[in-house]
Amino acid sequence: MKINDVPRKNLQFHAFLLFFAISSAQIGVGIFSFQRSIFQACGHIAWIAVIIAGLIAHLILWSIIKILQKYESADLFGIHYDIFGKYAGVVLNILFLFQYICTIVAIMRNYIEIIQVWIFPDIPSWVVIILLSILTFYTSSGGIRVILGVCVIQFTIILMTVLLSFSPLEYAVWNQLLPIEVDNIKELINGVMRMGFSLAGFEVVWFLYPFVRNKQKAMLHAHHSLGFTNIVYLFLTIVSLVYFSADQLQEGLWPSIDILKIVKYTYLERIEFIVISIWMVVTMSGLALFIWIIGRGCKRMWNLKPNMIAIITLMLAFVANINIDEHVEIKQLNAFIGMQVIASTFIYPVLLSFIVMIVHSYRQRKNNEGGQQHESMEDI
Amino acid sequence: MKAWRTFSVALIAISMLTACMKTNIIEEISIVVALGFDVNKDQTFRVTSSFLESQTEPKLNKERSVSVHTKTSQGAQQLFTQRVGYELAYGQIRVLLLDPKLFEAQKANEIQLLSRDPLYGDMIKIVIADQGAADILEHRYNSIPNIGTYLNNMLDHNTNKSWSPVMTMHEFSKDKSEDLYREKVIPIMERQGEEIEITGSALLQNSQIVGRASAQESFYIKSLRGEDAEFPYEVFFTKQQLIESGMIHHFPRNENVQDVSLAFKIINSKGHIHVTDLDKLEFKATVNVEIDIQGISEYYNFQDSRAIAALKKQLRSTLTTHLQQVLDKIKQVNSDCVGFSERYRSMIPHSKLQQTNWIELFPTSTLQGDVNIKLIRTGTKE
Amino acid sequence: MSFYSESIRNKLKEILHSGDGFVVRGIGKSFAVSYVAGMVDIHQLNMHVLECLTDKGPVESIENVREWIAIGECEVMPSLHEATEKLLSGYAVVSLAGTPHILVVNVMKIPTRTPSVPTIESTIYGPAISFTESMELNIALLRSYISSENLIQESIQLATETNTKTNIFYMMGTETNPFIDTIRSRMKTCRFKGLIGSPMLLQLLQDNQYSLFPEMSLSERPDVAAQALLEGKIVIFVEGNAQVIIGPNSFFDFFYSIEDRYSLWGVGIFNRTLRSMAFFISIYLTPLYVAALTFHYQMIPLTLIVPLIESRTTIPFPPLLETLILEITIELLREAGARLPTKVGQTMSIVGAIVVGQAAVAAGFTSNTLIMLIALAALGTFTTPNYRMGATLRIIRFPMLIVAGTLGLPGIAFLSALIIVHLLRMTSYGKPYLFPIYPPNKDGFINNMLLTASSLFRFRTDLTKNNRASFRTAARRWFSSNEKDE
Repeated sequence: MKINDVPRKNLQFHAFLLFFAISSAQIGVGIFSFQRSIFQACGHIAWIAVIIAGLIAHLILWSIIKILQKYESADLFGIHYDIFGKYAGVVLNILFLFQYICTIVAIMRNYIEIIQVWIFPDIPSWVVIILLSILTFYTSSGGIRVILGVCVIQFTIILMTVLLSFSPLEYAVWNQLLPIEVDNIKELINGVMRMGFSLAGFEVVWFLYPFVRNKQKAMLHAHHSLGFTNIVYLFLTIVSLVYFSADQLQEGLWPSIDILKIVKYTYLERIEFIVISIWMVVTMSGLALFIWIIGRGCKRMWNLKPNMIAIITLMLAFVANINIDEHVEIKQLNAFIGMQVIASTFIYPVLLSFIVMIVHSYRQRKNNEGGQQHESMEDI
Repeated sequence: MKAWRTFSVALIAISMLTACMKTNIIEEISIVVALGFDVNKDQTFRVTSSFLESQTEPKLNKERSVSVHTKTSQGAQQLFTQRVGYELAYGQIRVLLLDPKLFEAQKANEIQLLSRDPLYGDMIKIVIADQGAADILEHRYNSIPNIGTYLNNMLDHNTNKSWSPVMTMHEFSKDKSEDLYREKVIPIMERQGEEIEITGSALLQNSQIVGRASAQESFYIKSLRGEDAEFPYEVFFTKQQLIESGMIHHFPRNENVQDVSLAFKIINSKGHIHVTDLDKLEFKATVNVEIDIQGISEYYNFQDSRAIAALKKQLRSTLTTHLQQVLDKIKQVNSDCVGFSERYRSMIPHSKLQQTNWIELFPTSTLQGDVNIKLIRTGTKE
Repeated sequence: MSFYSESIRNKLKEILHSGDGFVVRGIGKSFAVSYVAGMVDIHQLNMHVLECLTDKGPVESIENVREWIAIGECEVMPSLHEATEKLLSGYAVVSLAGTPHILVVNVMKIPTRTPSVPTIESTIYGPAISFTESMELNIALLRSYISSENLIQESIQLATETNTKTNIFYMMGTETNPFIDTIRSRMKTCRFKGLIGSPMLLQLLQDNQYSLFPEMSLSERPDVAAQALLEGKIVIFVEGNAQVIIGPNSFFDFFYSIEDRYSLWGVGIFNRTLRSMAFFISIYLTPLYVAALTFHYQMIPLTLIVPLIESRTTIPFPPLLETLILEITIELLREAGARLPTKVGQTMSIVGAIVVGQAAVAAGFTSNTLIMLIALAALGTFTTPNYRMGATLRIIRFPMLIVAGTLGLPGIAFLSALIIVHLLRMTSYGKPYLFPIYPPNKDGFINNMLLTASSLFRFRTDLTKNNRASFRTAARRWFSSNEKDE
């Protein structure tokens, strides 16, 4: 496996498209329920937790792109290979792939639950899984450009949903945001951690970076994208905080859908049915992106066909999903992945950037001692 | 490869169609529009539903009401299905009528449980039926073809801008805990012969009806709750009042006026609550109203700015008195439906909140009302 | 009848397998003029060919004869065999005894009609002239719009049994036109038995042969063709066809009418908005009706649900079947209308639909509401300026209806997503099909889609500029980008 991998020119895309890709990897079915878990953790100052988590995410994203910039055109697979060597690198890569498989299962399962609760109580899980799988396979087999195209479509969908969420402000009780006081740091940290789970997804930049044509602009657009996600999450958090009472937020499983329940036109009511249905596109784009990453990892490491990998992954997800049917199990799955995601998205990049820094400075010193005046890679 | 792929997709699609879901074809369901809850003497529910149903005979009424006796609100659904032609569909419920006895029997949280079902909308309107819900829903009206939709329209236009407070499912299921939330105000409705009338509103304290407010009082409560409210107002000024405010000098055609009645419409109102002293629990409730004068029993000199100032001064004192009466009433029945508690909570630290028992605190508070008047216009004449 | 002319006749008989249909006229002892009866202009033949050949003495070579004839297109062929093709396309063949060389003279007169008012793409403003079946006339029409030396004409004879002549037109700009190589090679390589209409050629030139969505459009208007040329597109003329092929197009190009540019820009935007609304109405209106009435009764407002129940009370079919019956009726009427001899058929079919619809309501087959919705949806498809795209939209509605009736709103979302992904995967000569939307492009969006006033003067869209070479391969890569990542 090569450390640096330069995709063909017609597969590369403008850094501008990172804006759509990152936010679409972050926003998925989780957006319907994230307020609740944060609120359970830290109460009415949940919005502070959202802001803090967002800022931390910006910091992590910065460090990820800094690491990537040390290489010419490498992704996480290549960096692992470079830093940890052939065997340890592969093991780490497999861990990452495993995490993405789990994420795919969780995304599917959560979406199925929403469909089953809100629209069709009697729809069999496998129907939804097959629908999602067809879409996901069709998208991911089209390659990165088609996936990015779906991300652009998804962006418009998210934007419209956010605009729809303005209507509950009519019934807002703004006092519920007050008082602004942090009396329990531990609760706040807990809230930030839970928000971190919702924000995860921006780490796809690990894998998309080699495909960016103008890499010097990647940083800018990635941060814009993360900023957009943060604003969406902050807005939805504030709307939920002012619209719901504490009890309702504690109990309601999907506050974002409840928000949409009151949107009403003279020709159409209960917009949440439409939004949940359209969310299939949003769910599918995240799935396709993750499947593409898995396929790419397998291709980089073992030169396997991505389409085969995609089919195998989807089958695995199918089997896993068929066996999870109780709500409690879904909760356990989410909690399990939550911990994983926090570790891999927020803690690991910091760790890795230290390791990369040490390894590179060590190599440079060695090179200098050896009298070889190689081009320095350490210009951060 | 391509043909194979297309074929497999088509195959899966066809196989999927065999997994048909339960349909809700519109003419094969009975769509419940209004649901009424009464409490029997033995503490069981009597649930009445008014629904729309497709009837092949055009002569028959498209609307029916059925009532059943049950222990829980959920149990009613099963009993209903045994008694109607089609399956009952709850996704279109617009109005919930509640018996006042429901609150006495501590059964209000049964209603809150309904919001667990995703079928129920959040904007279901809740209203108290003074003589029981079944009384309104089961009566055969001559002039009202469909009581469910009629009630919905009636509540719609009465709560939209008018004085009647809005009570929706969302609002109703808000406050279960001891946390500090404003209490509920629910419009009261009663049937008088063939007519249905919204008479006032009920003030609650912890799911107990503790008092009633008239239309005028409801208006103040509604605007203090931050909702848009209009109200057609009529006030009488005694001679004494006219002299005090100086209005007496501005009746050019009648030097010797006695009582004057003034009709005006509040076209816009906005209420605020200020905390004047947090420790002593002193609140000030301000209502800014914009009024449109519609009639005055004596000719009044509106051209004179001093006359208008005098009128405004008099109106302000009268309206402030009315507001103060409302606030006193709220305090007396101990139903903080305006939201002083929320204002209070937003000012105190979280730790102090735990020890707060608002039901005990509220009667000790000082509430002061104030009305600011903007005279927008005097109709088409000065 | 001279001996020489008799020998020519026999030779031709041998070549053409039949002695009928052509005329051989001997002049003197050494000349023979032959032509296919009915394909030549008799007046020209008499005046300029037969006249100058009579009373001439012995001639040494065919070249001399050529100088006598006062007709522009006049060519010497090495043998009679090679001249037959010309003979069959309407040339007069002059042969001289004692030489194998043959002179072919263009006195062709193919029956054609004069250019008339465009009937398929009629507009209110703009030139009221349309292409005819004669390629020469069509080229003349096009040249009258663009008389620039940058307008390049390339003639390609398709490798078919019909020997169909085609001409490719494109504008030579500062950069080389990126599509021309692909189109040229595709036209040369595609082998098929016969090609009669330009729509057949159009299908062979597509990137995505399996797709329902068209990539190239047909037009009968010379101004549309000229506009397309200025936008950097390519126009293909096919002999004997009044419709020229214009391509490559993006998805949105099919929803633009030339009239958008003729109207005030505000009106143009309004019309485009109206049309895009019609697009959504035609695809989604009836499926939403089916989905709402079959599964999601909660979505219908109370004021609407009462009349809906009333209108559906007596109908024995579920909403899906009811809608399908009516949709198929409309399609039948449309098809019947198209088969009717006159253009009245089109109007008649719509009127007929309403009449049939009324009867269906009276018979209790369908509801009034649905008739209204179906009529609206049908109108929506007919507002699409491009008939080919309109036909595609009509077809899409049927699977959409079926998923709506079986899976409700999630089904509609699923199929829409599938179509969107399909459109995203499609390419038009290597360029993304959904161009100004994806890849998102500000200029393309503002100048091309929204059609601002200044955009009248900007003709090149980004779809057709800055293309890299080898589009066929680019298209292939696009499909299997994952497999060939390295």
